[in-house]
Amino acid sequence: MSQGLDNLKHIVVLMMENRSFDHMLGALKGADARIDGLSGNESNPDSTGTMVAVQPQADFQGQLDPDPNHAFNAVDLQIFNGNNANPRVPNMQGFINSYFQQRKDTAHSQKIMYYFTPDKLPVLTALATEFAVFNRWFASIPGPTICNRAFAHYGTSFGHVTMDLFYINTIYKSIYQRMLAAGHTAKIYYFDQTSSTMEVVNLLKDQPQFFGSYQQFLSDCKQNRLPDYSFIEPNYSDHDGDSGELLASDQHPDHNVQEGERFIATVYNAIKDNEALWESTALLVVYDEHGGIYDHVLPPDCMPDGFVAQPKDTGTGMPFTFDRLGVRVPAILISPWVPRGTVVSPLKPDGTIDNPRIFEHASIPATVTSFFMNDFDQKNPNQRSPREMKAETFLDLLSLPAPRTVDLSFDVGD
Amino acid sequence: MAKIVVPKPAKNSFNKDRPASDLLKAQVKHLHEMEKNLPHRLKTGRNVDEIKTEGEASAYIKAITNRLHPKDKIKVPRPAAGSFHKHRPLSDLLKRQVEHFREAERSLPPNEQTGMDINEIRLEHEAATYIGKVTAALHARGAAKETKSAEQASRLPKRTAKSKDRK
Repeated sequence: MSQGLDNLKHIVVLMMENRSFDHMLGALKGADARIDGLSGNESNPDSTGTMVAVQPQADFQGQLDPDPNHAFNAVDLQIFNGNNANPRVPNMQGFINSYFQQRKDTAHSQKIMYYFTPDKLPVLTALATEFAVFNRWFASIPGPTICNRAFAHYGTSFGHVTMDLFYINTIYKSIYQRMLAAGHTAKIYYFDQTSSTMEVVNLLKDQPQFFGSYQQFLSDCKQNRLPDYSFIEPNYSDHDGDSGELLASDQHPDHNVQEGERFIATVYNAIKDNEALWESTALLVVYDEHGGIYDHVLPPDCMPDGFVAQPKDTGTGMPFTFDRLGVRVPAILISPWVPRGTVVSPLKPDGTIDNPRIFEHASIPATVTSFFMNDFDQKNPNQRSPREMKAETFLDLLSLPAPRTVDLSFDVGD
Repeated sequence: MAKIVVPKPAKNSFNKDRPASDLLKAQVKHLHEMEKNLPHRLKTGRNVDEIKTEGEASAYIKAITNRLHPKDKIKVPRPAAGSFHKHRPLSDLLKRQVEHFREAERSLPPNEQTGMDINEIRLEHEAATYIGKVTAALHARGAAKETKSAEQASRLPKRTAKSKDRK
């Protein structure tokens, strides 16, 4: 075990909403050719058949309205663009086509190809540059939020590919339940009660002891009371709070992306400002799914998780056996034990990656279980999904022999 | 006009082991005073009386200056005024979150339910209000459950003792 892992006491995951890797981090390829971002030549056909290239014109708010469709059948269109050849091969050519279906407006549909320049996202850019950015972290399902988030909590969505999710009394316990049973501590911090959680029906309803607010997270960081494992949910809605107007910070279109940047910065600062916590914590910032926004990397096949979604749920006329991942999303691992400028599975000059390490949201419970409950499978055989059992874990990235000095911090004002 | 060639210093001019001048020592002393006001976590723990050379002085000066003015502190801009829009129509995500909360709300006793009709929820702030109410009720119920189970746990040894007595 590395020195970093010997010192590790806390894993914190912040899961944001609905942005693709290329949309948020694709421009970083210009500064670091190891990052599998955008060359500027990537394109999709629009409704007139004209090829439309990606453009660095993403704005913080107002462009992606209506919310781009990211239901299973829409994502299927985005990935395959109607290609039903057997075997089906992803081509990532249907993003404009899919967005066009919503407003029938050719010019507007092209905005799905927009991406941010690094100067617009100072927080995400700085973190990706300073710590470890993943070239191959994918949503667990080519579908929407709830079922993807379920993979982070349970290592499976129990056969669901939609926003419906009711999975009480299944054999696969949540990572929080496993931690508790093993004598560890775990918490889901939602932003406030008005924003609450996306993990409602099972955990909040039956096990509210796992939940705390973001204010409590901040306080726990200061007072060295952070649980072994923490999962943070951003603010999902614009609403009035005790201190005035609270902007949604989840970055879900059409919520303001800058507010999400500020939220990420406050999470980072809260950990960094406590030196003991900083040196004993690994923070993962990751997005649940791509939200219908363009990415150029083909989602790979994966270990089926033993469930089958029926055609009535997929909306494609075909069943889905959970044998393929969703679209790639941004993911950054933050720790002073991570070498500066780490690119996980770096791109070679010829544009390929040697034996890419594929991560997805089942990597989260897999990593937490592997680190805190190394003997879990021996004591609890067959109580993790096949997907989670096969998922890559990421703590080996804390590879330095000593924590390095990190000067990076963020000024988010008052 | 003749071009004047400015000579370079001799190659051996660089000497970071040169004894620190009074000026540098004074600078170190001033920065050490500043260091005393820093939070404990930012203190260097360096004994400045041991600083003898220019190299040692410059390393210390850099460390304290960096703590006073972190060069990589990035100012994170605020969203533009007017970004707040609580009257935004519900996204599919929020709509489904509301539906899930309605399912959870059904498990509450009737007197703890909100009585709100979720079909009338159209806007983001309406969803937020509903979700907030149900979350508070679920937490209250959870707290009650925890209190109850704690009470049960505290009674447990007595029962065990009784059952042992019976044996």
